Parts: sequence; C-alpha cells; structure tokens
Amino acid sequence: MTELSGPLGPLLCLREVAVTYRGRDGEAVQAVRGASISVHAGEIVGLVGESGCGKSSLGRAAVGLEGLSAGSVTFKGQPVPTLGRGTRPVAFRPLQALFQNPYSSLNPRRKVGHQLADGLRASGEAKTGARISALLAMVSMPASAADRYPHEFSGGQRQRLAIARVLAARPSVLVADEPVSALDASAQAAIVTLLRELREQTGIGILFISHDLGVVRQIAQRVAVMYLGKIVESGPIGAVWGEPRHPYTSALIAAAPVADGAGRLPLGLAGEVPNPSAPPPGCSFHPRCPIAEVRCRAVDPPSLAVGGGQEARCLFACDGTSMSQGSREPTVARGGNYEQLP
Amino acid sequence: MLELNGLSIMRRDRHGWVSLVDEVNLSLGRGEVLGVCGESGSGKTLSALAVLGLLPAGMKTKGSIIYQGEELLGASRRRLRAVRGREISVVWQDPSTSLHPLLSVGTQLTEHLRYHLGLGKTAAKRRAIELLESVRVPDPQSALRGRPHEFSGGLRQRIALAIALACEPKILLADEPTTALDVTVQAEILRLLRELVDERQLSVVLISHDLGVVSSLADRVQVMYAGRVVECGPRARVIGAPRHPYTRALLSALPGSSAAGSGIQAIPGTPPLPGHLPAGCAFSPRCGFAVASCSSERPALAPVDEAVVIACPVDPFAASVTK
Repeated sequence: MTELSGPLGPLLCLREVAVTYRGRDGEAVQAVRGASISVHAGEIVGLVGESGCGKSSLGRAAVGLEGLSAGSVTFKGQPVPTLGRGTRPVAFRPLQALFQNPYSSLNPRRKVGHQLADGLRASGEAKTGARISALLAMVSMPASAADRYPHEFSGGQRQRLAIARVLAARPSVLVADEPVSALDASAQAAIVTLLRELREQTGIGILFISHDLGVVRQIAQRVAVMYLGKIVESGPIGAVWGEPRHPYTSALIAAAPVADGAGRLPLGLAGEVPNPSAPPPGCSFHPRCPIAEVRCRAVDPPSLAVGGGQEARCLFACDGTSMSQGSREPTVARGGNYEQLP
Repeated sequence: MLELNGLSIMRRDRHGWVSLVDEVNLSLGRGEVLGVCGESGSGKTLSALAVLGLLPAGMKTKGSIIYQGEELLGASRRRLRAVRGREISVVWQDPSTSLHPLLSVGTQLTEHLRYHLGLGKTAAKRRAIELLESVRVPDPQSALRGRPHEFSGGLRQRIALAIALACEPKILLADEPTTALDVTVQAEILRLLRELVDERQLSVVLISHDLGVVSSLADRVQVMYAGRVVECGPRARVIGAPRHPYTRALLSALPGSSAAGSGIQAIPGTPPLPGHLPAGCAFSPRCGFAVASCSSERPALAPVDEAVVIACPVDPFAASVTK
C-alpha cells in the first residue's frame, strides 16, 4: 500500500511482517510471510481471510502480542515493542486491541464500572463516575450498567462493554480481531454501526479483522485479503468487492450465500488450504486456482498495482477480464518490476 | 414425512415452568428442505432435539411429533433408538465435538452400520468407503484409519455427514451445519447437501441463523422468534419478500444482502429471555410497526394467502408484497 510519511502518514504501519511459530517437531511454520498493511487516522481497514491464513497472527503482531521474525511494526513512527512482563510504554497505550469473545475479555467476577475504572487508572485518568458514564454512553449503554456484572448482559451488550473498556485508554488505533463473529446478525449490525460512529466521532483508526468479507464491506474503507500468510489483494473496498483482481478474492465473494430468496447455491472453492509449514512453490494459491497456468507453479507473483490504490498478487491481475464478471480494462498496467514502496 | 403439531417445550426453574418453545407447527415433505431460522435462543435447536428424543432431563413437552404417521413424542426409548440415526439423523454445528476424538473415522462409521443395519465387518467397511466417496472425502481408504483431528474442519463435517447418511435416513436434521466453517468450505457443503437431497429424495430440516445459507438451500422457510413461529412459507416469499416485521428486520441486519455499503440496520433492543416474554406479541417491544393491541393480544399464525402464514395482525407489508 502506498504510504506517506510525516503527520499525514499512517498511525499504524506494518511492513513486510513475518511471524513464525515453531511446531512440536521443531519445524518452522510461517503464519505470516511478509505482509504490509497500514491504518491511518479515521480509517477502518478490513483484513479478511479464512481460518489459518495468518490474519490473527498479523493482528497480534500489530499490537505487540506476537514477536516478529522479520519486518517492522510502527505506531506513530515508533517501533511497537513486543509485550513482555513489564508494563507497556505509555506512548503505546493509544494502540488497543479488541477480541472476538467478550465473555473472555471481561472479568466475570467484577462489576463493569470497576473494570472501566481499571482502564481509566491504567491510562492515568481520574476514575470519576462521570467519566465512566460517558464511556458507557459512547457505546449506547445506560449508566446503570456500571453496577452490574458481565453475565447480566447479552453477547452484543458485552461486546459494547469490552469496547467501552478499550475506549477508556483513549485509543487512536484499535486492532479488532473478529469482534462480531460470535454475535447474532442483529447484534453484529449494531456493533458495526457503533464502530462506524466511533470512527466518525473520534477519528479512531481501526484494523478490522474478519473472515466475513460481507461485514468488512459494511464497515471498511480499505481492505486487505490474506491467503496463506500473504496479502494477496488490497485496495479500496468498492474496487476490491466490485472488481476483484485476485482469483481468491473472487472466490470469497462468490462463496458468500446471498439472502435474496432466489435459491442460488454459492460457488465453492475446490481443495484445501495447504499446510503453512510447506506452502506450495510459486503462487500459494495455484493448486486451487481456477485460472492457474504452468508458470504460476514457478513464479511467486509480486504485488501488481492495478490503479486506484488496488493491488493484487496475481500474474493476471492486470488482465482485468479473467477475475470478475465485468470486463473493464485496468486503469494502469504496470509490469512485474514492482517494488515495495519505502 | 415429519409433522410437528403444537409442540411446546418447557423447562422448570425456581418459579415454575418456563416455556422455551411454544406451540410450534412444522411439516416436512419428502425431498424437501425446510429452513428454520431465528436468532440464538429462539428455540430452533430445542425443536430438533425434541424430534430426536434428546431433550435434556427436566424438560416437559406437549403437542405431537408425527413421523410417517407414528407419534414420536412419548415413544419408547427402544423405538427412538431405532429411529434415531436410521430414519432420522442429524449433523451438528461443530464436527469437532460431534465426532469422537479418540476413535478412528472407520470405527465411528462402521459402528453405525453394524448396529442399525447388522452388516458384517467387511461389508460395513466397504459401505463406509462408498459413503466417504459420496461426500467426496479424498482417499477414503486411508481416511478410515485417520482420527478426526487429522482432518480439516470441512473434511470433518463431510465425515459427520457420511455418518449421518450411513443408514440412508429419510430425514436429516442439520443444525447450523456450516456455521463453524469457512465461507468457501460452507459453499462446498451446501452444494453437497443439495446434491444429496436431489439424488436421494432426502428431507432436510436446515436450522441456521444465517438467512443467506437458508436462502441458498431451503425450499420453504420458517422463521422463529422467542420460541414461536412468526412466518412460514416458500423461500422466494419469506426471504425474497418477507411479510412479518421480524423477518424484515432480520434481513436488513444482514451485511451480505444489502447492496450499498451502509444499508445494515440492527434491530433495536435484545430478544427476550425465556420466562420474561412480553405480553402479547413477543416482538412488539422491538417492532417499529407495533400498535396498542400488539402488547396485549398474542397474535396467532394466520394465512395471508395460500402460501404464507404470519403471526402479525398488523401486517404492515401487505401492500408492498401483494403488488
């Protein structure tokens, strides 16, 4: 992704990040293999992929919960330290994380108000009742919620409380890993609306990690699609959704069932996700790709810019016609010598 | 094939009996896929458990469950054991919990065949391989020796499906069969289910909170709210042109279905808890179309035409649908 530096540059910037886990028998499993993504102020960036693609590892690396084996993560230009036993440097408190399961991110034995006060105290703020009520109001919960325990709330309400807890730190960037996946459709819609409003009101930047491209389309301005540890396509959500340039993105879109009553079956994708400890040579997607050619087995495609900020790691990204039903010409066709921007 | 008449399920708590499922009617024809949808806690899964005679202890039932003319509610344990797995079988949401983690796939498949069909060892094994082939598990020979954890989620669900189909049941209850799966895998499983329905004239009750999933597979759709049926009819009608305000609201909360990037709308409030149902229509406190009588009179399911029934006397979308 093209990035600026200075005050207009991204708040959170991940460059060529690699995360490696050691398997039981000592083999290295590369969960993330050189992924770059950035989040600017007031921007929601979606990170989409199926289970095991490395999106959560990348999200954890973004907040310092996972060590890097290569690349860098910076927040406001400073490298994000990997969390150890010590306290987190004050400079990184505005970088916060939100997880899928609000049942496990709230303490079941303490009142909501106390837990919000913890967050305020940790960020050096006075834990006044007014401030706690204000936090609850930001997530559309009544002030009376402060005197209750997490189990007294529904899943959607609990996720609101977890968001209020995060907001206590006055974050400028939030890394949200599947924050709506455990919720019913209506509660999902409510949380998505809430995050969108928070972005508009506070100018927070959000890295929104989800397996559901449909949800991401509702919330994000930009999106990155991940497959087997690499970002295979990225760009403005409208362009990526409307005219995907990577066959995997197309497959994700075609596989989502549509609730229109027409009874159309979604399109599947043959095969299985390969073992990340032994990724296929060449393009990682070629064994399942409907348009793969012989050279796809040999060449790992670089990220090709197709114009309008959209990029795809596919040798055919600039052919335009092959991926989507539409057949518009690509606006810019750049050759294979694409470089990661500094 | 299967008919539920006025099925009610109650649970005992401190204050007495609490109704979880309230007078649910359902009918399932041969080779038909009936989608049952609603939010969590709407009673979808409990109804399925009741059909299988698997309700947890301490629950009381009323009404009737008729399978091919035979009453299953209150049937003997022995009879239920014979029906379960043989005539009516089930696939659950999470294949990693419905499969035994320590037994090989082969053991779990052949056990079933030998118990219900009385097959010998070799015959059961041969049949097991056929079954795995029919759900397209690659290399069935060696898959039989594997244990569930060696397979991906999608393959595990295929194996669970093979077990469910082992005795060629007439009815398959599929409770959120694709919810735990990735979207591309989900699509493959939905296509597989459709093939099985078409090939074997299998009847399926597809329970899912995902209206997209229901829309792509079901022939008829039944929407539940707080333990009651609020709308039922052909898929094209219920999902394509919903009549009940709750169905409408559920659809507009879906991210995938709205065309633009800002169309989703949450339903205000939260679903009521069992035992704390509002008087009248249970959806009335969250409904934008409620009138005074909604909070006092419990609406009965009534036909709006020959195909669709709804439990809403206000019927605010009558005009928009009949045009």
